[in-house]
Amino acid sequence: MTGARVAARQSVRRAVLNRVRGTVLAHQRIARAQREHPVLPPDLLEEWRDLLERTRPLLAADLPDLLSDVFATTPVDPTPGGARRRRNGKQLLPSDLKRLLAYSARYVCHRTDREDVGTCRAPLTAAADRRPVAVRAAIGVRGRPDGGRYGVVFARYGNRVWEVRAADTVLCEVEALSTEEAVGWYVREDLAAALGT
Amino acid sequence: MDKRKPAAIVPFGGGADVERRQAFHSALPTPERLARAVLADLERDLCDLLATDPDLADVTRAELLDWVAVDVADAVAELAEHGWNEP
Repeated sequence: MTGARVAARQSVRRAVLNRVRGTVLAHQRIARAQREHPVLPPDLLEEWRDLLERTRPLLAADLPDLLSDVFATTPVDPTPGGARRRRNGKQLLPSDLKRLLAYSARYVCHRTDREDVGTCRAPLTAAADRRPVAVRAAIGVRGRPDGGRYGVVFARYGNRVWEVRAADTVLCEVEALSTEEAVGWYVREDLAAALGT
Repeated sequence: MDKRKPAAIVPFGGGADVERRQAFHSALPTPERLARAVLADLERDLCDLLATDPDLADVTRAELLDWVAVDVADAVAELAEHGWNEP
């Protein structure tokens, strides 16, 4: 895959995962069930899996028509809005950030001034002088506003465990998180554009 | 557990469990409704992506369909595995 293809692929994956998880968990009936059963016991988890198992083929069956509609209604523009291309596949543009901000609490963000880490060209390492050894971040896509020019965003509920500490601070007890694990990165100006500030 | 029906007077606790499971089942949306909600939101996001994302400028319908199908299946599989029990 070329660089642009990789960026396109990652952009689509990010948007689809964000949307499917977000819409399912925010569905009115499901949100209510979550409040009633904050932790699913095995028999209810089975019921939940049955619902998703029966939903999956319905989604798959409708995707071809959906994609045709999307292509039919969206004007083809080789450089949409004259927009710039991503520096790499992990870069989050304002339009990406808007989508992630809709489900902000499902993400954590580490802000930094280091360009290599902040643009997902180098892994995010734990601070050497702090205990426990962990990568620190804040809940939400914005991260700590005073934290730095770049924001590196990770899924809060994924393969890594982010423990909530004081206020909105979370930490992941690892020595480093690879660039592959990040949902993406942004620069402060693009976050401001996404927030309309 | 329903406080009006203490486990002690429900034989083997089975009746209460079945009732609870049935109540949970009817509280959830139907697969059709859930699929419709996801597809509607997904269509909006994909239109937005296609219109605004500079890296998607020359992506074909077939290519996008392949990608989206994989990603939707992965997202659903992940939700099924963990439920909303966060690690």
